[in-house]
Amino acid sequence: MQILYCSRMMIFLYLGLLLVVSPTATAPASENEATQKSNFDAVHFMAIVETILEHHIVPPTRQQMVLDGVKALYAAHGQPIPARLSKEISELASLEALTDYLLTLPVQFNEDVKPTVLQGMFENVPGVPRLIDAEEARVQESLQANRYVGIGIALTMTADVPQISSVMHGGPGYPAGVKAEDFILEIDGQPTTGKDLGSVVQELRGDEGTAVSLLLQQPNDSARPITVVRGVTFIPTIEGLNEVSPGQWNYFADRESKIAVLRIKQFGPSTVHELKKIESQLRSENATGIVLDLREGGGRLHDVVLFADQLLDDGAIGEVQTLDSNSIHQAQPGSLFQRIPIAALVDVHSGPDRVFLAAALQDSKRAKIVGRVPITQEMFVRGYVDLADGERMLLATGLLKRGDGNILQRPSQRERSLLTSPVVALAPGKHEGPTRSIVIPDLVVPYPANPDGIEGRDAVVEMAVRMLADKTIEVNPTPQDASESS
Amino acid sequence: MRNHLAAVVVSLLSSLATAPTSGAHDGGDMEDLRQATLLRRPVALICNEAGSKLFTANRDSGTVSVVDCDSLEVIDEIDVGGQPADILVVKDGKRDAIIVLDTANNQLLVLRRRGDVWTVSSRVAVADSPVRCIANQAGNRLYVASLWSRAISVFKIEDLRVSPIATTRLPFEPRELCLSSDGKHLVVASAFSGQVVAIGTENLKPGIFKSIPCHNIRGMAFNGADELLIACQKLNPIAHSTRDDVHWGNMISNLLLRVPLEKLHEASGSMDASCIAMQLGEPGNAAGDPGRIVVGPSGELAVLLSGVQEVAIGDLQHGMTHRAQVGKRPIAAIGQGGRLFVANQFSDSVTVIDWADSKSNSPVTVSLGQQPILTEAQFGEQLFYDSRMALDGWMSCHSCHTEGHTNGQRNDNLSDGSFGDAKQVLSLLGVGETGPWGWNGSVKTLKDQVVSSIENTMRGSSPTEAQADAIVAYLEQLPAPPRTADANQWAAQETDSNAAGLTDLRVHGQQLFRSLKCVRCHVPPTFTSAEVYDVGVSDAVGNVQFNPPSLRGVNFRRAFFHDGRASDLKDVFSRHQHQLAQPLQEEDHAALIAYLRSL
Repeated sequence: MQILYCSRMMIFLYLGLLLVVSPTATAPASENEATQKSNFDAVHFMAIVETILEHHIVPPTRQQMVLDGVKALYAAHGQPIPARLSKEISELASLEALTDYLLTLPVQFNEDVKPTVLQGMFENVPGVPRLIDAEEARVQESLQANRYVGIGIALTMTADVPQISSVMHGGPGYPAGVKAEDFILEIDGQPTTGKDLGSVVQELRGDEGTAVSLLLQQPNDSARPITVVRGVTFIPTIEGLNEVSPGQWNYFADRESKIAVLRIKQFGPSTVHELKKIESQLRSENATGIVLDLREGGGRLHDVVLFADQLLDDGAIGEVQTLDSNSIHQAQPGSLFQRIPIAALVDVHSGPDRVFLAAALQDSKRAKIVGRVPITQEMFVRGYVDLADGERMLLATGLLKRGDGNILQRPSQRERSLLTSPVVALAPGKHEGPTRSIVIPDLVVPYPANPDGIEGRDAVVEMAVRMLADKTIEVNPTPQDASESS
Repeated sequence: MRNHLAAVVVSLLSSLATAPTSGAHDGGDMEDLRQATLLRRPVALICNEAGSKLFTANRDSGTVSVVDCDSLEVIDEIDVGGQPADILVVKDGKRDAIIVLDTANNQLLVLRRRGDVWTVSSRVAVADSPVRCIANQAGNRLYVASLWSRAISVFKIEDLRVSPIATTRLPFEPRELCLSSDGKHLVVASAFSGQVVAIGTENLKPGIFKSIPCHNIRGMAFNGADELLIACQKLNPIAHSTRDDVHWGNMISNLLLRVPLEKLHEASGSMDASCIAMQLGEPGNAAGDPGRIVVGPSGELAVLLSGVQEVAIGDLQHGMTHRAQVGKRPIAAIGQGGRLFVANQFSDSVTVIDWADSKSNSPVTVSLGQQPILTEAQFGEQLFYDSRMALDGWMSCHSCHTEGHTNGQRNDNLSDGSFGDAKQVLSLLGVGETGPWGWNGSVKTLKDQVVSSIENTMRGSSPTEAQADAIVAYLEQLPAPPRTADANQWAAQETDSNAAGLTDLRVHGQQLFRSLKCVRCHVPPTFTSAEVYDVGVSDAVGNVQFNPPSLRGVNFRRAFFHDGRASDLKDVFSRHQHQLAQPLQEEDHAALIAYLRSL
């Protein structure tokens, strides 16, 4: 199994990582990390360069990456960058020649300079690549599978003491009596004082079924011992409008119109299952419209495709172009929310997975898109590529396309400049060509966020709810129309 | 063999220790002993009108067990022979009769009673491989579904006699039948795919053929006059057979579909947008292979979960709120006097459930008799239909390889070495002789394929050696689909020629099959070969070498090539020009198809 995974890249989008005692939240590389890995040297550096060349969908040249890396190397050592560096490197082409060149540099590669050098090297690599160590890769996988084993808490450091910022309702900590704001004074009898967040997290982790004893203390209260058996923490990936009690959501924006708001926090393997359950509940409550809030969060592309399929009866969902294939994703017969209209929300920051889904829903006329044109994120599929020593790389390995084959892209400079003020200059039908590469909402909600005095509420949700409730609201309006009609 | 003998001796001894269950026979001790150790395999059951007696049709023993509904004891076992598949009770005034559908001899048996002794009084021929029968409310019409003949036959019941009226042919293999409350429509579902049709009972004329977004339909019932309930499964070709996708129900889901009857009659429009799905089971506790649906008088609902030895109980408003434990492979059920009677095929038993209060009252199990120790293939059959072989109980082998055939769907699993290109589920009928296995022919033994499917597709625990061997033994004795006379008739109808003309056509087709060199890859008698070939089709991940599927029973498939790109045998040649140097002449095309359909 693992071999198969290695031989073919696992293509999925980078998870906008949920913080569940996440090691990435802790800052510096722990000693653990340093001892596990091989030394960062010229050969290791070139291996990363070659991996990018081999797997990236639009990689920079080998010399460009080496040049960027070497510049950062000099900077890391506090040395000035030699004047002829760029010319020297551009004259070398092959892997061997460049490796030899790196070995003769007056500045050395080592673990200490690794973050700086990689940051420099990645500068001109599109799609924000990342190097992930083996442990982090494992945690990410279990999180993505929504089978994270732990005690189900999120953690921060408050005045050098680890403090629980929230307790997951679906985890074992909650029923055991772990509370938000609890300070963790001891773990299995060992005081936590002086420990960094990373090592606290390591101590809280363990295999499913094992127990961990905690000494907890609410602010201004006495300490209390609690034992928690580690288990699977189910983290809902779909939330409603507001949580009425732990794990219980109210979906309806208002009771009269029966329009439900579903916030897709993350696309994971459980998302479709959650959607089916919510659909069944909302159907029995006679929901008349669905607002799918796709604005924030990340997810795996595979799960986005499965989700899209649940909303579409047939036709193309979209395509994914990688170096060695072009996968066309077709919706299968049967779908949820039959005969119930849908509005899907996007925003300037919405990620590629969300844009891909919004495009599919828009193209198949299953949903009206409401919000703002996503402009900030690059539209790549990011996939993991395995390196030696359990390291993995997250790389832009594919392009996302609409069902008609148009590549989805981040709006160009020109498009972005148009987008900043008269937003609707880019409304569908008013532009030729490039508009198919970006998703233009059917109902653009202009800045500022409260077009007609919606105070303290989410204007985009509000607009979507109104659009569904009051079917007379015309979509594709001019900016003036948008505010007048609301 | 030695093991088997030992098993018989052991079970004989053990049955001596218990009292024989049937007392109504006069055949003496040996007869009692024989019956006591029969493998019965009840597959259908029915109550008499008074609700005092329950009759089960026992497939393997060729018997009908009679259970007293009050004492819950087996009071008789009637030897009817053959292979009973379904059972009905009809009444005429004070007299009653049992009708048994015999799959082995393609007959309807009418059993009449003299005192307490039932005997077969008449036999009526039905179209080959009958699997299900149903009578109308008035008790004067009987409808029979014949699987491989693709036929629905209607019979008149008069004076407790059964006589044929008419037969209609379908483009699919029928299994489940359901009559509308006004008796005007007979809804027929495909045994394999999601095809459904409402047939007018007056003229036996099929209405519009509709495709429901599901497959493996094993339960149909009317909820009132306007809504049809369908218990089925749905395999999603977009999902991958990963642990995650299986666990979260992304790959296969077990469903109760609500279908508005009017939509079945609409000339246009797909059913996709009309069916509302109720999910059965959940991650960690799935409900593999949903089966028979029973609707109670006040809207209460029971759905057999055939793969996980349970019955889901609830109603449409609140959902299926409770699950009751029953025996192995609950396959048939009826509601009677506030109780649910469930036939457990592989336990040789009937479970009786207090339907109104199934939560607090434990079910009662009525054994139909002692079972002998199973042969390897019999054990294999049990495992083949056991959803607990898969992660969480989501599916059994039967979920995709329906009754050993194929559900006609695609699945994206690792049998081709990667995810990204779903492949057509292959039929296992005759599979013992058609190695190597898998679309790319990479699996050299059937056992390897069985183990791989359980581990990598169903994501179940690794089967034990004995389990894997048993499933292989079961698969090896699955015959290729029968080349029945009825199939010939169908072919004749399709090709517009009489029987003699059809023979000529086939002879010509056979010559073409040779002259076009089809035999190079599809070598008789199995019509496959051990090699892989590049026939100019490629999958989405770049595989071009495929092992040719056997052409035996190709008449009973709906999708061709690894991805099902041809949905009709004719398309294989007309649209895809499969291995043709030049397009076929129309007569040649028809001849080749006629020949292939006869394999």
